[in-house]
Amino acid sequence: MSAAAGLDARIQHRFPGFELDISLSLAEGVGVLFGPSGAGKSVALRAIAGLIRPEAGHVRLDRRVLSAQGAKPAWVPPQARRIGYVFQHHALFPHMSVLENIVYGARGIPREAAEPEARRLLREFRLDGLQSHLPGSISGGQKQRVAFARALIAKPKLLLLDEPFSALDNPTRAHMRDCLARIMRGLDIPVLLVTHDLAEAAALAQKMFVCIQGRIHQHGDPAEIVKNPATQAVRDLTSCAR
Amino acid sequence: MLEPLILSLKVALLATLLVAVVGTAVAFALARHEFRGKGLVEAALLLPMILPPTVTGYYLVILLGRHGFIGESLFRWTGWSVMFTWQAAVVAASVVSLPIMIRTAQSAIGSVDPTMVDSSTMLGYSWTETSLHVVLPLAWPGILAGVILTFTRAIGEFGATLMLAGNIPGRTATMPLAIYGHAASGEWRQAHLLVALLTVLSVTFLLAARRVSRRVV
Repeated sequence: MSAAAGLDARIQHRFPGFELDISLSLAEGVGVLFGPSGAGKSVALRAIAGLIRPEAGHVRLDRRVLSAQGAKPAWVPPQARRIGYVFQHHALFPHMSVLENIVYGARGIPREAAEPEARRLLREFRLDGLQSHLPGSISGGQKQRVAFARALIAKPKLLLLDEPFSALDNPTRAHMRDCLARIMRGLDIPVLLVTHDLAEAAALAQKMFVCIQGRIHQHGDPAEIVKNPATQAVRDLTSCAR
Repeated sequence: MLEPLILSLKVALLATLLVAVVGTAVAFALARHEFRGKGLVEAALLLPMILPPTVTGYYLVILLGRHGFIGESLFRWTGWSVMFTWQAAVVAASVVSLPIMIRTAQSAIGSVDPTMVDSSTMLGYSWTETSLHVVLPLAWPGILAGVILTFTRAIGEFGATLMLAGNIPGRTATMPLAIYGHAASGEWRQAHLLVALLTVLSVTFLLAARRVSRRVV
């Protein structure tokens, strides 16, 4: 049986006092890993990215095995996975300008091709005029769009976003949510986003995975999950988050 | 008067160059890697900082002397011994100042936000590339402060240099050794001048280190 295109992952990892065991598959569109703080969402994202090595399970992306344990162990290092990752606090390099940050993301692309592409992304993400600014001198929303552009310039096969709106204030948050929803709709790769905000999850995702205490309790259409929670824990979480 | 100054500058500059390269590489390895026995390695590397310089010098004589563990083989192969040469002063200054460089650089490298490293990794860069493009520029002020402190320590080195290089005027008598020599023979005017010069140099470099390490990227 061949695995489906897109992301197919099972992550099993034990921490002191906590066990993560989640399965998720996302062929296309935006998926949201939704759950309370400490549910293991960010750890799962890091394991998919290869930033931590899970004890068991597998990660496959477009049928390519990125990590596997068991009879046929495999491990592709994170830098070779072609996964874009937008970190919670953007993680822009403070010593590089906005343009340099984006061009840095274009590893393997010759500079003469990378720079025009970076300038095109600057225009697309409404960052014109900021190319020579250092990250310390631009706003939170602008930083986030730079982080997006940097993650996308090398044309990854999957985009991971770890709580992308948590570092923003409320008005910027709403604006950025609309802005990113527009950008993500235009991408032809699966996007997996981690959040503990139900409104964000409902606004952005076509598929939601509800993660509670290291387990996926329910997955599917966000509106359907809110309407028909499969377990009491999901009911409590969604009613509390509304 | 100029001879000890020129020799001191030559010795301190060479020692600083050597220590900057070795110390930064060691600091990278210690700051970014966990391995068994790391604590022991760190303690061994920092030993010259807490040992009296004469004891460090004694160890160097045991190691590099004509009948030392390394010195004997070196003499057998090349007919040359490092003892009582200006190169011995470089070795002594390097060994004594290495812990300062390692400590300062390790702390600067360790203070770089790990998310920056993860971010570079996710953009496709190897550990070495990330170290060069991201960690090194971000840790640069701390590393530069380490280099300046290394130079300051190297130019003032006395005990280990005396043990390994001796106090030969015009050959191994760096400024601190020349000061000792002048004071011992009652040549106070020369001693005063050299003391003033060394103090000015040390304070200047110390202020420079403070200024550099405070700079925020």
